[in-house]
Amino acid sequence: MPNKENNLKKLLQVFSFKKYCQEYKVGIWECPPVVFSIMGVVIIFSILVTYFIGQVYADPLVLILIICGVTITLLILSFIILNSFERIARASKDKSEFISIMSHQLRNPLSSIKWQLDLLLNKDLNPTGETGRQALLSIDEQNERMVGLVNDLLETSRMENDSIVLTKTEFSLVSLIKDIMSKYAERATSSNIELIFSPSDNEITMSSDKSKIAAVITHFLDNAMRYSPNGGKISISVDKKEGKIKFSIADEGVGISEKDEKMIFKKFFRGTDSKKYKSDGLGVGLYLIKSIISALGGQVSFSSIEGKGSTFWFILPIK
Amino acid sequence: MEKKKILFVEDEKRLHNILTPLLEKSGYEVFDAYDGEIGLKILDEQKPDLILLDLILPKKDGFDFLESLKEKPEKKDIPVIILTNLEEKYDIEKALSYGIRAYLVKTNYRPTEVVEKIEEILK
Repeated sequence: MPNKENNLKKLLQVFSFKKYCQEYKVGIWECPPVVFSIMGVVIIFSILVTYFIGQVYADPLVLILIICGVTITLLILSFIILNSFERIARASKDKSEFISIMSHQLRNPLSSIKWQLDLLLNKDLNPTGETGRQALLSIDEQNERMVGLVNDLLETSRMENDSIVLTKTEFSLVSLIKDIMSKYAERATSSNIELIFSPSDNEITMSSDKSKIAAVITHFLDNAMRYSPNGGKISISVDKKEGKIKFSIADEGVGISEKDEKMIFKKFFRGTDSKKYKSDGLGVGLYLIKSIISALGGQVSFSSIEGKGSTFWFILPIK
Repeated sequence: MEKKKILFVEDEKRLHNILTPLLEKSGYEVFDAYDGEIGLKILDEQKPDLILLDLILPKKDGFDFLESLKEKPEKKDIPVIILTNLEEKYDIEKALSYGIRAYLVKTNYRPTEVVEKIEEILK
């Protein structure tokens, strides 16, 4: 008996369309097995109806109309099936592209760490003093880069599953921006990039999720640094008006092409020329920024001129 | 005997800091370039015996570099080793179509192994 029950369970599992649809992240009415089953039922039903109507009326016009109606229904269903297959295929392509980008992004810091460790372990070169220290600092930096990548991925997954947790506290936005900027000071100096911060008021405080706002500002600054040329300028400003805060960051970088403008807040989207510039980044920074700012009840936007630079800003309620 | 010259085109300074001293220790003269444009500028002035080239580079990427190299009749036969983290079939096939001598993936090679590969090609 238990064997029979198991077989029945297995059989029912085959027809568990809901599970299948959830797995491929398509709606129940777009799910190929569901639409195929409906198509099957429609075909059987229409054959039976056509047979019985043919028996009763025996009028060719009625039969032709029925057949036309059934054909149109089947065409619509086939179109839905094709569409859903296309969506599944696109999702699969996105997934392989993501794996490729992700493995490449992890490989960069990993190869750097491997080479630095090789240097430290090389008896012939025997790096001591400043050279050894620089190698260790570089390993630390690359390790942080990998931690950042993995954290961004986890955050993206949380956003997708709507499991983001917001904790509001009161904090000074000006101090937070200054703290984040100080972490980039060395990188800015080595790339000869000028970082400018001009708050309208030194005492701008707000009540929001400090760590999430910090993540947003860090992503903005990171992007601006990545796409800024040597000798470029990055200007940050904050302004308080009518119970709202406006943060903006302007760079003199490569800008965003018209073609890319509509896509930049999409998950895993990377600019068409991103390979030509610095390759770091998974293409989730702006997606995370938009998701966080929306979750906090704000808006985010940008303006850009290709080849001249971009300005991004967000507006958030003070409380 | 004159030292053999190597043009090393790579945007990560820390990789230059490791590999360049190793190559110099092995008796090579190294020209460091941090983007494709500088690499080509050096190539205008020098005739290296070998080019060590990354694919993802600022300004002009590795493929643009290879395209420009192909157009220089005196220098188009200089052996090129690709040193990259890209390992897509498309990238490898495209690089091989330019007649490169080796395609090395950074994570799979130690700096000393890269030097060995260079020595093997320049033998």
